[in-house]
Amino acid sequence: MLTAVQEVDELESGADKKNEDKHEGSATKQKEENGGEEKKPNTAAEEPEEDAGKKQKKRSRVRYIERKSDSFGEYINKDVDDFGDSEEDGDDKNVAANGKDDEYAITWRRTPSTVAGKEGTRELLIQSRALRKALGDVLKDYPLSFDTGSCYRCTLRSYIP
Amino acid sequence: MTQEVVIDAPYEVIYHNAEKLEEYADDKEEAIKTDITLLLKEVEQVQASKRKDAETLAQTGHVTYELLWTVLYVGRMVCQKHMNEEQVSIIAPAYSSPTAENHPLVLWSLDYDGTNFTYTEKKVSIKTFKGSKAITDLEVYPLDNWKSQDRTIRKIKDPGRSLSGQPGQLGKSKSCQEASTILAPQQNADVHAQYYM
Repeated sequence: MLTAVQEVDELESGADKKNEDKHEGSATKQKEENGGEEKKPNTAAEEPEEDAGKKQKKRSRVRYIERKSDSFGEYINKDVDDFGDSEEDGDDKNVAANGKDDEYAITWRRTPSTVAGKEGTRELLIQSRALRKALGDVLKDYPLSFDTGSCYRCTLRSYIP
Repeated sequence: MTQEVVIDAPYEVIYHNAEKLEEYADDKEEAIKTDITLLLKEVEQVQASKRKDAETLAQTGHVTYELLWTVLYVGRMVCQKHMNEEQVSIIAPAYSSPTAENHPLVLWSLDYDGTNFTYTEKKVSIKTFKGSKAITDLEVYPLDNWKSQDRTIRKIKDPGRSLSGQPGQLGKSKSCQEASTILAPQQNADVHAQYYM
């Protein structure tokens, strides 16, 4: 079983890989813009501040996704930079089941309303295992989705000697 | 397979348990601390304007319908009128979420018939209202807001009385006046501690 520290290390290396993939993509784009001449990617030391800022943002443990229904009524999740920006960054059908679980600590999931004039929903998804455990330990009496709430009857019994 | 944990707006479960989460993080590994801090910060940002409104209203003992969740939460002891008498209950997890029209609550109290203790569950609902309202004018309101408390008299009357081992003290027959007399602030905290054990 992995420790939390190991997990973070692995997550960070995973995030690095993701960032490398992104840089590869942007390098290809840059190559096209430069008329086919490949530009050498920047090293960490040479990395401009702007890129470092972007990398920092990509490494964030917070994820933002926007959920929409497709023509079959199935939900499609689309990554966005944040809710002030509609730039799409990939998509997936299920956040927890596609291997991205634990890469992020939390996810904000916005689902626009399909009814005119009605507000959409904004849910908080707890992604990291450590955080789920912490909430499970601390919030015993709340009916979270992993806790049916049946336990609060037991806790009330503590009034009886 | 991992179960998805989803917390809906207004994320009151985090709002009311921020201190407990911080305490939990105290002796944990750095990675867990970081995640808990991040969670609390994110939720605080999202709730910023609501928190400010709730604090401002609370100073005058008022609340709006939209902010009921800030004063009525799971585990809180509340006063409620039952057959024209006020009695004390504890808020239990509700079976449904608040809507634009109703804020449902499940209230628990202990009923003691002299021999046995039984649980009494009552479902109540606070109907929507416009603007702000005095907390004590709600059908159900926190025991802390009970208006006629006289802490000086209470302390003289019953300085060291503890609720531990006296389960009947919270029983159905107890009024808000009696309960507030029995429960000094520290003892009140003990009750919460017992509830969460």
